[in-house]
Amino acid sequence: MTIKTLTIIAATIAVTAISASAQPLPQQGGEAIYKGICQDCHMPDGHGGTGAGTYPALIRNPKLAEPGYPVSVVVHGQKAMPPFGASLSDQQIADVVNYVRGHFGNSYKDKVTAADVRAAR
Amino acid sequence: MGMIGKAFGKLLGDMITYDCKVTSIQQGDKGVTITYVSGKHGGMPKTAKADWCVCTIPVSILGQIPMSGISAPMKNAIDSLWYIPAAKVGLQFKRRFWEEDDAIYGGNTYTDQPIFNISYPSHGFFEKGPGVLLGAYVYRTGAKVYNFEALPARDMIKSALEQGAKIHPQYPTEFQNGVAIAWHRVPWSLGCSAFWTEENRAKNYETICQVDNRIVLAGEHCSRLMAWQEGSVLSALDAITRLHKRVMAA
Repeated sequence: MTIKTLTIIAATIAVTAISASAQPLPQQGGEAIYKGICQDCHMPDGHGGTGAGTYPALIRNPKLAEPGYPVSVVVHGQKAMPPFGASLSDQQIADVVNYVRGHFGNSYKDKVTAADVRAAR
Repeated sequence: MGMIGKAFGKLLGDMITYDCKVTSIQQGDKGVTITYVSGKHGGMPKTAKADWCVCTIPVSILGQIPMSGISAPMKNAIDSLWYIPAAKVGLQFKRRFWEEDDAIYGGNTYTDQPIFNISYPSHGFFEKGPGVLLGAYVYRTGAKVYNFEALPARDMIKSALEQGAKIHPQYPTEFQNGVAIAWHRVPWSLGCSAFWTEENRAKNYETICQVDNRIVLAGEHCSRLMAWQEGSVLSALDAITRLHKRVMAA
């Protein structure tokens, strides 16, 4: 069964991975989106993690000061972090970036809009 | 699944130093110096020097390791790959009810629920006592996969139980224990496997397979068979062939 299983999965990954990347994320609102995707690696409380490599902590992260930076990282990905531009709408990306910039010890007042995200695509 | 690596490990014996975390890679014209610490205990860094380096560190990790003397195109290629999500949930039940009640011997059940599929063991048929099946195998990219991977391990198991119970009503009464793993939380790979888009393949694949002065990369990320052991093995053969040519020409 193992070999059969592997064959099926191999085909599935190869065929569907690219097309599936446009599958829209159902969650709406910054907190729900954070919990639906981001906490997978950045952890529920935003502290990230370190093993052989590191998931950057979002807690009091000075790189969030310029909102264009997190917008670009979410849209295009960065190194091992996947891009989410295809599975999140402009509004969803704006919401989750605003959520992260307003939580985890970050309290930036300026908000990202859907138009800002569109411009970054 | 890990038996190929284990068999190689046995043959290579103490040529391998285990449980190390590489902290820097420095390439010069005459050789490569690797700095590393104990993965478990940290402590004082040690160094290893060699004429050539075959580096099999996943590029998700390699991209974060300070490297000097590496070419800009190779560095770009390393940084161009992101890692796909995947998650598995193993469920242990008091008895092999799928065999005893439903005459299922191995194979898979596919579902449109987020668990994707249930896989039944193809060994130990009719054994008495607890049995383990694969209660979820979530892979590919896309929102559903990220949503599942983002769950805490306990909730992944709960989710696998709830969804699986719609197919096997025996789940709630027979369940004993479970274990869940999300590949994006595996500390040494930060994801399941490197993902090549066709566009990036055209741009960076040849570069990542080249010998970069004295370093050559190997692994599934340097193959056309993403995520597969076969890809890793083919990459190993390719890397060694390239390195051999380079050394013989020197």
